[in-house]
Amino acid sequence: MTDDTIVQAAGLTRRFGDVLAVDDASFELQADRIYGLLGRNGAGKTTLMHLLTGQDFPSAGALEVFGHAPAENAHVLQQLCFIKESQRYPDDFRVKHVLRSAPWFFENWDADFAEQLVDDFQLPLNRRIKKVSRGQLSAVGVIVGLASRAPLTFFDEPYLGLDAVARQTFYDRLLADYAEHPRTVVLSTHLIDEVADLLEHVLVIDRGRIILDEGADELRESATTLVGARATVDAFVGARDVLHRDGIGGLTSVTVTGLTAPERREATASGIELAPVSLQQLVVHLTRSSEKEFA
Amino acid sequence: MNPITEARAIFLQIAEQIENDILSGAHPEETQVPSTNEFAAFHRINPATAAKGVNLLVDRGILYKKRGIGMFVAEGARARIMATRREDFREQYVLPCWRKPTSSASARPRSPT
Amino acid sequence: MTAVALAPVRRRGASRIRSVARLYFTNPMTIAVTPFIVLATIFLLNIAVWGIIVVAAPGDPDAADGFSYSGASAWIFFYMAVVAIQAMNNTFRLALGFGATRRDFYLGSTLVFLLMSVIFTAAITILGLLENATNGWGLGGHIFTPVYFGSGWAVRIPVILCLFLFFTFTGSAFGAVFVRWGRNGLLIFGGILLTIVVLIGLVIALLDAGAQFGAWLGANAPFGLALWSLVPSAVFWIAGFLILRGATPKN
Repeated sequence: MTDDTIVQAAGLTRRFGDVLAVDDASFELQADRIYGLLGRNGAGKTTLMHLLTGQDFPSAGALEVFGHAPAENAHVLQQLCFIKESQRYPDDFRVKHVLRSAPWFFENWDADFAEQLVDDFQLPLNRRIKKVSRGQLSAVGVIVGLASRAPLTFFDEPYLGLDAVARQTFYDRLLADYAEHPRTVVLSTHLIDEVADLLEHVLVIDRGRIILDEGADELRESATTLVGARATVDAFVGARDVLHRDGIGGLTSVTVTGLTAPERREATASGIELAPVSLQQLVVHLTRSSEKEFA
Repeated sequence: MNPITEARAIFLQIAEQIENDILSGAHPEETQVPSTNEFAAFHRINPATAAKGVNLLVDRGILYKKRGIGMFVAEGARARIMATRREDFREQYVLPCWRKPTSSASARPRSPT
Repeated sequence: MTAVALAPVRRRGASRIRSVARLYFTNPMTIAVTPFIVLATIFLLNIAVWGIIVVAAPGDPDAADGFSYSGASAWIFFYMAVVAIQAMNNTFRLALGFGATRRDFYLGSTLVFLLMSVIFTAAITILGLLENATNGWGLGGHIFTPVYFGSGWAVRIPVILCLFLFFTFTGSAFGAVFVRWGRNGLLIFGGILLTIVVLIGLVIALLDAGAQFGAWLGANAPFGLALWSLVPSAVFWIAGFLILRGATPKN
């Protein structure tokens, strides 16, 4: 643990009946980084964030956020902002009421920024929150999450219903504001390709377990897909760990991890084509291979 | 077009991109280059990653920091980049080719025959 | 990097509780405007009904007597109970989303319910004074001064206040049960309460104390009963707090 550690989880577990929604998760979050919390639907992303934001209580394990257990700790919770896809609002609220009340809870709230974001997303302030579209509801969350400038901000699938342009606006504003006001952001998403370049660090959760906890740059270099004649590729792969294997006719494509620069040259020299593995593909391969482990 | 598409670490690609721009004359020597935040926004990448790329070039003496102002292209940066690239090219492509006729096995130790 | 450090956040309990309370007034419609509309509607409907009766049966002493037993103002108490239940559900989720603790949320909500109880007690008192001054709106009616509230303001004011407290805190407890255990929890909770009431009735019946209990009720109504209602109100308030502390917002 370093001075910059703001979240420390050890053996964190949340059980619902027989289901382990979060299963023995141990990890740390460092200050002022953008994290990706990736995984399939139902993998435990939202439950994990509920635990981190004190909205839910762990069944077992230790959890410290800013040095304390977050549940019912006002000093910790004031530093957090949790934007979730399923956020509910009082029935009588209009969009403007959300933006009017948020500053009472977020000390760092930037009203000008919020106003600019309302323009960016063309949000109808006077519309009842129950009447706005899915995308507009997401935009409300995005605006609160960005303008609150909480030291630790969680975005749980914040883009549902937003079109590609609006999503890009979100990513651009997030990056620009993060650069000006560094803080820790956790993006939970399954649109991995869209956010891959924004992330500094990646956590992958599968069936409640953290199966990957790695810097985005290291990840990007960690896996390679080798494409070529089956015999050539198989000979090169040897006893390496294979993440994924695919083939058609005499051609095969094998995804492996941990190729060094000389090995890459060697592969190219023997006529194997090297293809990059996107973060999304990597996560798909990893979650599939962890499935096999369980099967 | 977004150049960030390869498998290599993004910060390496950013560094290479800045080097390319220096070679092409887009960033002449002794002029200021965009800030890391501007690089991050332009390439839509994490600012820490952009900073890593810029710092790599500072370490290599391609860029230097003027306190309170920003990053500048060092004198002789072009020459240094070209020298490094020639060296890399030799390492990666020329040497293996040159060795190949004499000892093909050492270059392709695992390839089946 | 032109990094601007984020301000350290450390707000005091009182300010956090006030923020929660303000949340209820963000859209003042539900909590501050609609209750008055409910009151006004009750009032106008009563006047209209009485007007019809007076026109249809002029000078009937039974009718005038009936006007003292209007139960119309009960609606405002039920309305406040519903507000409390809704608060526990929707406002709770938003408050938690905004980083409030359950404790601060509950205390802030309590503050609002107390405030609303006082405001509506005052409103009913003022309307009651008007009612007396106008001889029951010219019809001899008692909408805001029905016999149930007792006679004389020294009795009515505490009775009305206690009724508001009872309904809002009961509402909070039911709302907390719903948030924590959902619809089934609500059914079980209602079942438990009903069982308790039935058991008390059984004990009274077994002790053959029905007549005594009736006499006690008659002797204490309404002022003594109002004071006694503070006991279940307090129990509901505490139960609501304990139940909500373990509640998690479900999707």
